[in-house]
Amino acid sequence: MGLNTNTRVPSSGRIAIFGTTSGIAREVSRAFVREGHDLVLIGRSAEALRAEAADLEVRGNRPVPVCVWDLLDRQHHAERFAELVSNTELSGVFFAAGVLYPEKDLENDGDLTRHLFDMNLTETIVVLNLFAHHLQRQGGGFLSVLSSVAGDRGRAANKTYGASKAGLTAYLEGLRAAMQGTGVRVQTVKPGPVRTPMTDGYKGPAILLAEPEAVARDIVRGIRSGKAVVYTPGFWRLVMAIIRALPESLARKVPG
Amino acid sequence: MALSGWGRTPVVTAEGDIPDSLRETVDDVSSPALPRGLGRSYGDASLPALGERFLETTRLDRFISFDAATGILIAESGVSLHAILQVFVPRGWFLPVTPGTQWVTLGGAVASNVHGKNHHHCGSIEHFVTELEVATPAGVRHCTPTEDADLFRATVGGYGLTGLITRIGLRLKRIASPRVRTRGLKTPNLAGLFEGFREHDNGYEYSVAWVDTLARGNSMGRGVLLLGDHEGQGTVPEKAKPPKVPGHTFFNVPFSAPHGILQPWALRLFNTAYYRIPRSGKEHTAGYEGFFYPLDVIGNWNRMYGPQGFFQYQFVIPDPDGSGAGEAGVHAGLEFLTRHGMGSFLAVLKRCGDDAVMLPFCRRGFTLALDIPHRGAETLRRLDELDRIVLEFGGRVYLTKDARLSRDTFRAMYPEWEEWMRAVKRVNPEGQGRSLLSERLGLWD
Ligand SMILES: Cc1cc2nc3c(=O)[nH]c(=O)nc-3n(C[C@H](O)[C@H](O)[C@H](O)COP(=O)(O)OP(=O)(O)OC[C@H]3O[C@@H](n4cnc5c(N)ncnc54)[C@H](O)[C@@H]3O)c2cc1C
Ligand SMILES: NC(=O)c1ccc[n+]([C@@H]2O[C@H](COP(=O)([O-])OP(=O)(O)OC[C@H]3O[C@@H](n4cnc5c(N)ncnc54)[C@H](OP(=O)(O)O)[C@@H]3O)[C@@H](O)[C@H]2O)c1
Repeated sequence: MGLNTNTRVPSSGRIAIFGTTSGIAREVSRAFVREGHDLVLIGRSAEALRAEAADLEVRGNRPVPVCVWDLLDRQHHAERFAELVSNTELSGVFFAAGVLYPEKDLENDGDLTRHLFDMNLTETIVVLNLFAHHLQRQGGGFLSVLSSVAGDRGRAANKTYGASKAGLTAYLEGLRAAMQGTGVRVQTVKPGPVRTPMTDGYKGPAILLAEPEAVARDIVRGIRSGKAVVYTPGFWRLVMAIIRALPESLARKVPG
Repeated sequence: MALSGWGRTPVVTAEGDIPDSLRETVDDVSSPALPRGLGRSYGDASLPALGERFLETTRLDRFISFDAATGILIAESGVSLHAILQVFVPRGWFLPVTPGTQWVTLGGAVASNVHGKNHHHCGSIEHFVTELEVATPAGVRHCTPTEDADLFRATVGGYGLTGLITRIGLRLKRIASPRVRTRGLKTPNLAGLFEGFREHDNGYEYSVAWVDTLARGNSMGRGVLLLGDHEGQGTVPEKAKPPKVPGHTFFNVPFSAPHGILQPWALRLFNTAYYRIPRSGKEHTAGYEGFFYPLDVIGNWNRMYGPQGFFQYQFVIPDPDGSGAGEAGVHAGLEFLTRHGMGSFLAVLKRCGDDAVMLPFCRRGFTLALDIPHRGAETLRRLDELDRIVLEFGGRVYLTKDARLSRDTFRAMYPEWEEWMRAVKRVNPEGQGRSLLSERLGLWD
């Protein structure tokens, strides 16, 4: 229904949303539905998934299936994945699961640090590999994944989270290269701070805190145009280009 | 964090939560906080009293179900009217009642029992709310106009004091087109406006008048009467073509102007220009956003009044038997405002009927609303004088816009307040989650 023919999103199949309940994913899902796409929602709480599905069903006036899948339940990734693709054709994946903890908590807590890397990097990569190979076999689709501007440069305030996102960014760049010519497009999304539960304690300048609706518009537009790396809001591309170009002695002095 | 209503005065410091699921919220009724939506009430209705917390509903923004046979939408209370329109206008449905901005939550609209340009025909939003779920300090309650009707009538227009409205049933209305047939009639003075209402507004679903608050003497109260109907009303075409839902903010006021941009000379220019726009009196059609939400194209226009903020003063003067008391009261109020040069932007005049909730604002008669820049003690003193005029004519001031009414004036304006507060206290006996408004008006005493 109503699918734009010049869209780079394949017009058949569902877009899988991994991390449906994330503040960013909720708005991305709504934007997809507004454009007439079909979705399948993935997350770890059945009740929360049902609430999002009901919302999207009213918005899109068509059914939205759900799939309960915990990113940390590593024994069952293959099983969950098989279940999902056995009854759903996928046109792409939007991946939003991820965690952020205060650096000072991470510094003194090895388990929390391991947990953060399991979530943001290890299990994310395991699951993305499953999806990438599936889309490759299928002959095409997109994988759009939330990394962060925090992965572009190491900073005292979020060195551990930043390291996990730097790792994810590097993995995605590699995956993009590996998928060259397969019809699978890999997109790295790097948001600045966004007003979601993740940033509820945010103390920086209010003007830098983007609204999830605006970020979702950028992401959906980026997927449609097949962009490799999406900075959102767009000004972060320039800001991070400058910050990346600074020598470490100067980069250290950038506030924030 | 610093918190204020749309008028940006008063400003309080308060902490609060923005829960992202209903389950989390309802499980937590043990520590009730003051509900807050999009903060579009002008004064202190959405501000927690000292020591209280707020609970922002903007992430409780999911639709739950929609029944196309009845038009009944069930939604979480934090959905915005904008979201409802965006989803439902293309399918041929509209809000049964809407305030002058779509940037309010459904919960906020219910808690203020908002009225729109069709109040003279169908009353406030209360008549279209089919059910409510309310997380009160005494537990989660379900109520409808007939089941636990006291709680229903105390919660609709209850300014958050009975607890958090979590789920709302709202009956949407069928439209045949997203466009509105509208007609603007210029009138030379206030008497002409009243005449215009009497003559025309029965024939149109929507009517409202913009009044030039700076015109004096013989042209005091000159203005433009705007009338409107949904295009093709009554007949739903076979295949209503899915309309484009337009509309985003075209211009945003990024920060507050040091002294406010809305200086007297600028206002005079604007009001005169607005009045001089030729109005043929003929019908034409317009998009619904331009008709219902003219101010929404400027984001954060409230900042134009500068850092002191502003008051919105809206009062109603009852005219139960059509004897002209409402007109006399509005005339007296407007005369006072122009005499003291207090008019600001355009004022809005509207004919209305009676509300049925426990604490009703609208009374059969006329209501006038206008922005008044906060210029310190002088402004406050003048508004107290204006209260006395309103009271003399048996009128009352709209609480969702108010930031300064005294408790005695409030009690005189709203004799129903005691019955309402008795119902509030049945579910909130200890007065948890108090708003600044509720303390200022001495509601818990
Ligand atoms: C430009 C403009 C035009 C307007 N035009 C009109 C108009 O034509 N007619 C009209 O009637 N009003 C009008 N208003 C006022 C506005 O509709 C109301 O103030 C409305 O209540 C604002 O909703 P909100 O979501 O911003 O709520 P807030 O301002 O955040 O809160 C308002 C009140 O509702 C309570 N509340 C909010 N959510 C809940 C909830 N989930 N459960 C329980 N209580 C809750 C709060 O405690 C508070 O008392 C206008 C306002 C603006 C800025
Ligand atoms: N917000 C920002 O400022 C910002 C900036 C840059 C990048 N990002 C990145 O964008 C992504 C989304 O951020 P957000 O702000 O939208 O986050 P959020 O609202 O905090 O949501 C986090 C998501 O991760 C999910 N999750 C947590 N543990 C999980 C598990 N074990 N299994 C499956 N899912 C799990 C959560 O699901 P539950 O609901 O079940 O907990 C939730 O959907 C993250 O990768 C984040 O790092 C965010």
